[in-house]
Amino acid sequence: MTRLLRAELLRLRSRKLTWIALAGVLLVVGLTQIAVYTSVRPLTATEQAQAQVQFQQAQQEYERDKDRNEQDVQDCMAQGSPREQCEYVPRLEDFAQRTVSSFKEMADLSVTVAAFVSALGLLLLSASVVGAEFSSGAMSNWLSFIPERTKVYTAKLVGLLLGGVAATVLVTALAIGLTVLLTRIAGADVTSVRPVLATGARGLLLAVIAVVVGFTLAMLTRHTIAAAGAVLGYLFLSFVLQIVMGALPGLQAVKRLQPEYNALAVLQHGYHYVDYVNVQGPNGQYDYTETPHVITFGASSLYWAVVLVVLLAVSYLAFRRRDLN
Amino acid sequence: MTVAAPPRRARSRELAIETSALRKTYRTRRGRHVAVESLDLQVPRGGVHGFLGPNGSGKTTTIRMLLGLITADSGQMTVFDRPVPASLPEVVGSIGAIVEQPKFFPAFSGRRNLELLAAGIGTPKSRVSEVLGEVGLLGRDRDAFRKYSLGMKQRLAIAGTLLKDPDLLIFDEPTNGLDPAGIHEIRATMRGLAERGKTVLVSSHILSEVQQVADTVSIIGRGRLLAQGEVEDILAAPGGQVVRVGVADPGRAAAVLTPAGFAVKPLPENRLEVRRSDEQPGFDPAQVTWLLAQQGLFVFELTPVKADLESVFLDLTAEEHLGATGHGPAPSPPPPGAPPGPAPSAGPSRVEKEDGR
Repeated sequence: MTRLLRAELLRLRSRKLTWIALAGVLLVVGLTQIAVYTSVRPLTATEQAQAQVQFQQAQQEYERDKDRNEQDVQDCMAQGSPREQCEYVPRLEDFAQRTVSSFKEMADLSVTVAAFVSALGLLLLSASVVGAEFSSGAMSNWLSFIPERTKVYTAKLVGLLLGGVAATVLVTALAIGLTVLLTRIAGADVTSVRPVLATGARGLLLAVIAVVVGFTLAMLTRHTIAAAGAVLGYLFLSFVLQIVMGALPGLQAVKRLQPEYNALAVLQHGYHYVDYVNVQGPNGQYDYTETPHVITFGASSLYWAVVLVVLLAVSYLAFRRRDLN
Repeated sequence: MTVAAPPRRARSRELAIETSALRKTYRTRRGRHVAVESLDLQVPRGGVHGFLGPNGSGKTTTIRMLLGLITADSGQMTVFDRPVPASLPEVVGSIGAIVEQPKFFPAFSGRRNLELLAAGIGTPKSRVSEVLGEVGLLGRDRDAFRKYSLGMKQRLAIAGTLLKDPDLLIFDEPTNGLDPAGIHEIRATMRGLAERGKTVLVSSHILSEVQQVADTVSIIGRGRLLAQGEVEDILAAPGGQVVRVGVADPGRAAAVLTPAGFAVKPLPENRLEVRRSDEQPGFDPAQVTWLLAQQGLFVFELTPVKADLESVFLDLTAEEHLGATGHGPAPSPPPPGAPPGPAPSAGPSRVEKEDGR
């Protein structure tokens, strides 16, 4: 088994696509860091001065039109809205050229991007590793040397998991490290690192999910394109489902079973979303009612456990029993 | 159809491969397609064994079953007396196989492909250079596999099988697409391996090619065994001995010889090709001249034609439209109570074609 695992890791290391995928993921992570730096950087003196000038102009205009503004507020409140929603008083921060984000916000973004891009890369890479082996016929050759399908299956899966998790650790560590570094360079405060690390750790779960899904789809379809096509097909289906859900609110319960929301729930330790239902009011006007929902981390973990076990069982049985040409 | 008992020689020798009542069918749109049917194959240890049959006759399917790549519907298989595929992991170290075209990772170099195999089977990396040297690929070992010529691919596949130093080598159509030099090289490699005490099972539909290297052969058609044994025995067997007869009236001569149990084929220039049909024991060319002379037909030529596997094969499969599975009429099932057992002749194992009688 160790021999087979070593061979799988050697193969993974030898593939150009492995390094291309890693480079692609690192590029996206790098580009995200540009956004991090520009967002956490405090406003420069020039930016602050510009904001101050614009704020003062707005304040003067507000004072000048005070009576008309007050009338607008009263009209708005007459329709049932609270004053704070109807009144607009100029604030200095609204006139800044850009929003300054906290480290926590940007670190969350950075880790989320790293985790999702890594997962996408791993899904495609896993599908390609297995798919290429089938479509080139190398799988048949491999099995004629090592006719132990259970061991071969396990070694391939474990090899991809080890490689995938290692790559995700590298990418996540790099993303967090760069975000910390750039925040410090920008002169902003670095606070609350622990929750970011926790998100990064959950990103590893996402990596495992992506590897298993890519691997099993390719085991079942025996072709990279077919496996990738299954994923794209699902994304299209999901898009159609969103449209259908608008027309058939009863279908919104399906959201809870959709993989993308469960993936978000894993990464964000729970995913909150809102169902909108179009309701006709007594005055004949339509309005939306919002129903908040949450997919908890526990529920999404169970969801993925079931999905992965089913995928692994079906693909293993198919691999074990299938005739190979 | 009755399959004859194994040849005496095979019975007394140890077998590298043995199959019994092996059967494999595939599901197709038009129903079940029988690829291999009641196959009793015996490959003696040591030497080159030709596994012959036309395209689609079930050779590759049989090899794939032996290697555990596809599952047999029924029947038994042993390799070095171990049941396969159950015990394949135990004996696979002794088997090196190339099934159809060599299949490696196209983007990897020849060396990297072998390094992967070596890592998988636990062979030291140093062995890779040795086997690459043995097959003459050392200069091109770092080129991508997809850039190799067919001959180089075959050589790399042979190098792959040599990584294990196996006792049994299985080559499936190894000379397909090779130029004459490549064919000669592969032939020499097979003979060389056999001389080192290895067993080489080579499947081919090019019979003349196998005849040059094989010690023993099995001939299959439509997934069924038609004959097996030593090459000389097969050639000497009924249907293998042929004479060319020159006679003034070939039509009358054929009318005389056919009822007497000879298969007669007209040739140009008043000649006939005469061979003994299966029913006739022994073949004395003098009998031909005697029969014809009795009818006032005097031969002006009587030349023994050197038999080859091709003619034997064509004779064996004549009634089966080249013997390929899926072509021609299906052979009749054996009549109820048809006794299994040895063929009448004591030479090579033969299949009696009852539907041809």
